[in-house]
Amino acid sequence: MDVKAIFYKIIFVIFVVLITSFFLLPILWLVAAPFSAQATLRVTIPSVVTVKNFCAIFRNTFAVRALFLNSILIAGGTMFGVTLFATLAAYAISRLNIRGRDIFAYLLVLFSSVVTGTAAMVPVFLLLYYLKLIDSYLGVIFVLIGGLLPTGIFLMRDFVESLPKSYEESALVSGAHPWQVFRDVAIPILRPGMMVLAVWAFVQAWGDFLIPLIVIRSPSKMPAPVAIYSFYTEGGTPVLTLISAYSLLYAIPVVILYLLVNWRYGFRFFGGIKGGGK
Amino acid sequence: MTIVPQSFLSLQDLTKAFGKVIAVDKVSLHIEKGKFFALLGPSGCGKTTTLRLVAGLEKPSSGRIFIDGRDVTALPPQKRDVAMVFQDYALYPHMTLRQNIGYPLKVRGFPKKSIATRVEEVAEHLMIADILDRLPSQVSGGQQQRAAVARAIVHAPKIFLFDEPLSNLDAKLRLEARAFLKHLQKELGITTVYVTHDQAEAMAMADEIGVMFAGRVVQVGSPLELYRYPKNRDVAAFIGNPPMNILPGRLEPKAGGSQFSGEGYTLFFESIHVLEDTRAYLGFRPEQAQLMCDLKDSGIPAQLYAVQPLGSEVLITLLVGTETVYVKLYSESLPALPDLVRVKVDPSRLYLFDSTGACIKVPK
Amino acid sequence: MKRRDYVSILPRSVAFAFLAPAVLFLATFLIFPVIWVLVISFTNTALTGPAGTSPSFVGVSNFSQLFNFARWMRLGEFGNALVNTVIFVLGSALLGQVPLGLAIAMLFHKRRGLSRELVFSLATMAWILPGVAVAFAWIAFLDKDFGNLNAILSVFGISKIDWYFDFPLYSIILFNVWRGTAFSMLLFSAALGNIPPSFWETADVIGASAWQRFRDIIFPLIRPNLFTALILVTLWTFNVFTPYLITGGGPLYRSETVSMYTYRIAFKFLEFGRGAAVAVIMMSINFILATIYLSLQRRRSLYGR
Repeated sequence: MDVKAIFYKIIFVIFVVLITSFFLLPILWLVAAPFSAQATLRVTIPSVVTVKNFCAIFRNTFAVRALFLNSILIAGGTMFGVTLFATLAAYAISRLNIRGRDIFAYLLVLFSSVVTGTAAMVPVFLLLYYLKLIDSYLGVIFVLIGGLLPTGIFLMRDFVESLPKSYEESALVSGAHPWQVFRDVAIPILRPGMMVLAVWAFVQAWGDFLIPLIVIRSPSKMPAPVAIYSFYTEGGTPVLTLISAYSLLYAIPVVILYLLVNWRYGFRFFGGIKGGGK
Repeated sequence: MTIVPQSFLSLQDLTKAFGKVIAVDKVSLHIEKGKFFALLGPSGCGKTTTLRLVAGLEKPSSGRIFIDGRDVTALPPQKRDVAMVFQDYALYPHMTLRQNIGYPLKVRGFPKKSIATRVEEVAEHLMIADILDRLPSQVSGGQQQRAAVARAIVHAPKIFLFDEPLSNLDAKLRLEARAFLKHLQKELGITTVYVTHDQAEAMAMADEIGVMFAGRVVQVGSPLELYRYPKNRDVAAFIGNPPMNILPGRLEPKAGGSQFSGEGYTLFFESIHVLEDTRAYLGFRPEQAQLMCDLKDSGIPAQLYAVQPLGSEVLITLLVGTETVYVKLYSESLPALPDLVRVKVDPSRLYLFDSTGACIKVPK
Repeated sequence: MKRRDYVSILPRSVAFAFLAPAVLFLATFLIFPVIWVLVISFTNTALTGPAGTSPSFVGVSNFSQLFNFARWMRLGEFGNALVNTVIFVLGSALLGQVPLGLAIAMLFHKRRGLSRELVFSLATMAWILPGVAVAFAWIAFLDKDFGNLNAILSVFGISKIDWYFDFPLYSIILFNVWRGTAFSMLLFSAALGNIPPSFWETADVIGASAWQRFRDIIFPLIRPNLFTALILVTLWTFNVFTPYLITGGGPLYRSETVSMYTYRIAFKFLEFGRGAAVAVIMMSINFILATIYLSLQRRRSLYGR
């Protein structure tokens, strides 16, 4: 190794250390504080590791209900809706030669990026208000499905287009009826794409804060991200022991799903919308 | 009123347009029962579309298709009783080879037991019986190809359709697969339509070849007929390995015949008569030409470009003007050649094409 | 007439049935709200008060209120939010996420192993973890007395900084760089992976320096991806709401972005008419960004792929 190579190596190591610290340090608190008896905003390795905070949460029926019922219902319902509707739509768009299907996809992306975040909240809230869906799971789920569908359809369409039509055509020529083709050939080959789509939709709905904040009124229906704001003392100071433990519990499913997808498919982008531009 | 054709598979004035592009243009073909028919043409000539029309995967813009005396033009693919092997094989990735091969029987509602027996039987025949429980991704390309063929023959269809089934195999396997498919077809006697862009494949396998250019079938004939008597310049320049040499020039009337003048040479044709000076093309096969080293010899003057020894023969590339000409010599040793040579062809072996490309002289 | 649809893999009627639920959802929760918000923005719709029962048309007064240039730059007004948003987008998206993502992707291109896994996983985690959870972690991270950031800076002899009071906007910019870099990183990583290795090797063989190689070969090849990243990240950053969970737009609206402003007007003050007017402006900006993005994409698809 010559001097230059060593120099580059050192620069590389320094950069990796800096980058790692940048991404790691802000969330260290999330891992350390829940296990400390007197959690503060300081990150210290707790001298005594305790699970007392978690016990306190599990004794709190409101918190348990928010995380294990409300959040799961909302994320699960959204996941189901997005996966089902986006798959059906993407499959139809890809396999039926409708004139102007590219325009459809184009408008889809346009609309979904125009109607997003707080800009969409005002009309959506009023819509739910008139549909009498305020303070209902269904209201949250519907809005989330509506918001996630365009991207979902787009992701899924990319996946379906990558599957050769010859699979289905071959089944047709083999003598299968269209519904047999769909059941025996299309659904199984779509399954990997649906899995990724489902995970994506779940994570999106699970982490969403704004929509349940606006739509849900009664505490018994609040999902975890909204419920967590009730862990404040009457004086308005946050109870950090509970908040940190609850945050960790709330974040864990996302970590698990990430690891699952990373292990099974590798978490990365393919050509499609992001790179190649179809 | 439609006249039901005598042939086993008949296409009558079949046309398919995609928007303004006419992919298949009034194609009529009549294929006898049990024949191996190859549709040959460059990519984009409409041959695959023609095959998909027969399969029922595309709807014709006009024209009719008859299979075994029955008009199937309006029938969906699953009711046509044909089988197709796709270029990418289209083996279902989630099914084992056994399930893949059995699928056409399953959808026809055969009992499980007879499916199992029949799949075993076919697999045995195609020598893939020992890998039946593997997934397509777990077997080699050659084995995938056999499995795709097995799935096609399992329900004894009336017609086999092959869409470039060998293009995904490497050169050695391709040669093996050619023999295997030809043997199998003869043995089963199932009428076959085979689409390929590889003239060698078509020549080697087919009983009859239809050559397609730009959506039209230009010529139909046995491999030898196409080789010897190409109807036009396109066919001539497509068939043969390497294909026929074609040199542009002019043809003018002369007493007792016509004279062709090319780049630095003239040739006299007794039997050809033209009315006026016209553009024409001279053709000859690489394997029917000879090289003369002596420049005093008559013949087409050419410049040596490259010499490729191929073992049993030597392929020589020459330049006549700016045109490339191939000459194949059957010799194991490399001939010593000067830079300038003369290409000599027995006049009876020469072809002539008129300005439209139509063949006006073939070898006797 | 014979059935004309048999060649489709899907019969036409089935295909439309497949499309129906998605179309219904999109029409109800995406397209209809856009049209409606336009209407609302010209009214004094509210959930409470006299306007709650019978909203009336107020013309462009909602808009003229927003663009009341005499006072719109005051803290808590629309102009202030707009300026904050521009700084926020410039800082966190254009100067932060995209260059950092590109740098990480370049550095780890052709490198496998633990350090890559570590950096990529951490960055991706920052991107996908629930906003509320990471917001609490960041409140702790930025805390003046106990926060990790000040603890580390003190090692370098920098005295305690009150991030929330003194640099609220920079705080959320830093947070957003942390939160969103993963997208650019993954995008560029995929783009670099699509460059055939022979391109890098050719450059090596002809003796180009690392910088020349980047400038002459790599950069032109990833330029389309760079545009994609810049526009999408701008679009998302413009609309992002998560920083609200850290600063709440405060102190005294000093870190309030347009999306927080909309939220405050519509859901804190329940003035839906004015909220809708802001929403219309946001959507117009979104529309412009999305149109630029899509037209770039379409033009690119014209030159082969």
